Amino acid sequence: MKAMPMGLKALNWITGVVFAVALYLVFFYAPREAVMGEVQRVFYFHVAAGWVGALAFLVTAVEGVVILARGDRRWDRIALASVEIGVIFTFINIVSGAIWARPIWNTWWTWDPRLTTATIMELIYIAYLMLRQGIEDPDRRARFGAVYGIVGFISVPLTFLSIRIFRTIHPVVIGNNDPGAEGTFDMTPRMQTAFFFSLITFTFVYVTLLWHRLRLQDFKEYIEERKMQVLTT
Amino acid sequence: MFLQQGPADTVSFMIMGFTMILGTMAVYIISLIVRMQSLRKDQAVLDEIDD
Amino acid sequence: MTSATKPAGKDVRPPGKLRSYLRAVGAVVWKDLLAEYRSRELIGAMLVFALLVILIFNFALELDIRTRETVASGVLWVTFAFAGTLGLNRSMGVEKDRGCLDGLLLAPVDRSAIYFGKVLGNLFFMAIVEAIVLPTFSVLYNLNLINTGLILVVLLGSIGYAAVGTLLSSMAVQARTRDILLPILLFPVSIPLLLAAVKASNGFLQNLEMVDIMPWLNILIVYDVIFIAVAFMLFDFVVEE
Repeated sequence: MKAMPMGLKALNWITGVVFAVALYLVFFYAPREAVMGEVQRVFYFHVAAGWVGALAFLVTAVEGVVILARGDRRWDRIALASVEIGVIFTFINIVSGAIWARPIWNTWWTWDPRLTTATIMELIYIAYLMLRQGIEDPDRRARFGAVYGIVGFISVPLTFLSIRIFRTIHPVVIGNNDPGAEGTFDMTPRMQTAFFFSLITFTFVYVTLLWHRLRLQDFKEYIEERKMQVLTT
Repeated sequence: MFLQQGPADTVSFMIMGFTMILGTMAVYIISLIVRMQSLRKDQAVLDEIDD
Repeated sequence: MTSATKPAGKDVRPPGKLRSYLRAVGAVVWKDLLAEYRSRELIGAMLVFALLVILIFNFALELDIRTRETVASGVLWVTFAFAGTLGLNRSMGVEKDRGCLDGLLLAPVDRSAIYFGKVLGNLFFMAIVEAIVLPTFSVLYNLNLINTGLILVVLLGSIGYAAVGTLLSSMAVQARTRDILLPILLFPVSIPLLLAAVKASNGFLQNLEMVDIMPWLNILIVYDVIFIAVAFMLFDFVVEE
């Protein structure tokens, strides 16, 4: 397997530094929130993880379109890597959302539209992976992944919308009745800095992990090929 | 004006949250490393066979 | 064609491309209906399943008269969703197992005609099951479900469900984990549809104001339009060899 390219090595360092800065901003630079206390700091990475999940899903859907349009399944490896990362970060988004909600509303789950939609999105991701697992032919796997990636991606905004309307008309006993807020607080400029920087940081993390995962996938396919050669000689 | 009570003490939840977030990311990165190692071992075996 | 053989006046196109397309769709639907009429396996299975689900709900949920009214639409749609996946799975499974799908694909028809044909067939089967379930449910739960608004919602919901379901089942049947895979693929992406269908059904059953029901009907229609278009475009890629 080829050595790690210079670009990736550099990216590793950059991401590491950026992440360290983000940690500083989140823990020390941003002020403590007036009502919720320290747990509010989780919010910065919670939203950033959710952003990565959505980005990963978008990338997969776009890859899907490319795969179908070009009939070229080499793009499929990007879709697979992206989904894997998306599953992880959506999971982080959901669980951190629950941890954040617990001290504020005294319940682990509030059926908030955003968290609920994230959970459904996670289920779609997992279904995507299960679909791929059940298909032997790599060409078909790529095509089916592309189709489901597109269908899934389109369904998410509709899901969010319908749950939002549901929450508006259907007040919930526990949690916040405002469907727009997971937990409202006004963000001071320092908080906004931490917030936006977290988004940027996690984007770096996504790209770095994606690159690494792609290398892994290429290596894996290379080894599979060699194994096939050995078995058939 | 009533004096505000001050922010709630939610440090333990913050720790829980960040442990989960950073922990999950770490687990994933470690899994990537482990998978890479296992492929390298396979490569070593294949290289031996080829000799 | 030389100018000598060309008829005077305008170009003559092959006899109605639309007509032959519709004929192809009709042929696919007719094939499914005929096959089902002869074996009656599919609808029988869906029906028994649906009735069993209703029965289970009756015991699972303690229902006094008031709760029954609020819960009815939910129970109804869960029933339709589960029976629907059964029908979709079997409908596509038969195609694959008997090699009918390959036969269809060899025919000189636009792939999308096959898609629409299958959707209409599946829709028809769902409709028959629904037509039997609704009165049965009314009797068992002592509620009047024969309500034009409700029937409209059932129709709209079934159309969307069949549209997405046909596409996804055509993928699921080609996988090893065929039977369990379709619900896993279908349920998360059909949530907006099912949610809107339940809310709209409930609205009509409880005689709510149209203004309350409209958002849900809108979502149903939007979902149907979007997914019929998307599925129709993607079906080609699922069945190509």
